[in-house]
Amino acid sequence: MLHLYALVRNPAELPDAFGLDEAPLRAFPVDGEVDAVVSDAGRRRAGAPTEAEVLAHARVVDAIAAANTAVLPARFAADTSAEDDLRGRLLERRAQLRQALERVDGCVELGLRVLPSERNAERSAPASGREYMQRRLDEIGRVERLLRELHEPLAALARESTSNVLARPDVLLTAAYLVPRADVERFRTEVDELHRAHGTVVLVLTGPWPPYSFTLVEGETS
Amino acid sequence: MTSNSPSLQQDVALIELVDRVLNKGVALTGDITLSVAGVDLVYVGLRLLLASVGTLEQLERE
Repeated sequence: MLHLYALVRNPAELPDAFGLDEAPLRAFPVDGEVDAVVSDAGRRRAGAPTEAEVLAHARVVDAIAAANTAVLPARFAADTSAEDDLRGRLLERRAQLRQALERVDGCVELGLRVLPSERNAERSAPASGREYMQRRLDEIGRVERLLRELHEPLAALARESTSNVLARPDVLLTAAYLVPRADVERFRTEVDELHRAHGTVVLVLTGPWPPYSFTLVEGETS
Repeated sequence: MTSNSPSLQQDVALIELVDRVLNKGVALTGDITLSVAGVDLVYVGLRLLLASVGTLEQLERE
């Protein structure tokens, strides 16, 4: 049984790292163009990963991304796969995988979270339905403005982007940007400038990450 | 208020990491919903994050 970390172009450059449970990494050819990077899952039980396993998976994916210019990180699979099964599933999607590898080639992902700088949760309950409606409308207007003023200028610097507004009550906006490695500094500078220009929100930029959020190609559903 | 506060940055980075590893990336073995452990991790992370935002405000006031 195998644990999958990432997909890369053939031939895979294996990093000097170990997988879950210190198992060695190996390349697992899908076809002539795409390789999977896997380790033998050994004793690992199926089911929810532990925090240590999540971090170990992430570290391996980071190391693979450092050694290969195009990488598609794999989601942590709760269940391990038999070799034939894994190859079959990958072969079914090889055209999409190739296309996705081309898209992420030479790029990293940067993550953005926009948080309110004051806690709105402590406001008093609305006195009337009308007041409630007005608050909701204000909030929607505010988020639309944030998209226009923060997300759009950043998306213009990225090859691809995704955004999600009000994913949680206290997170106004989450977004991910696929950015060529050479443009990361420029992107950071732009975030700093936007941050200075918007006093009512906090911008937190994370990354560079391997491009976890850009592994689906058009026409594919998650 | 700054995006460079190390603890806020760290908390957000942890949440973003867990979210990526469990919810993003290529999924081949069917629909992997966020595991119970994952939900807990993300939730704990968010509480940490919110606590940090509060701490920052407090520091600014002082």
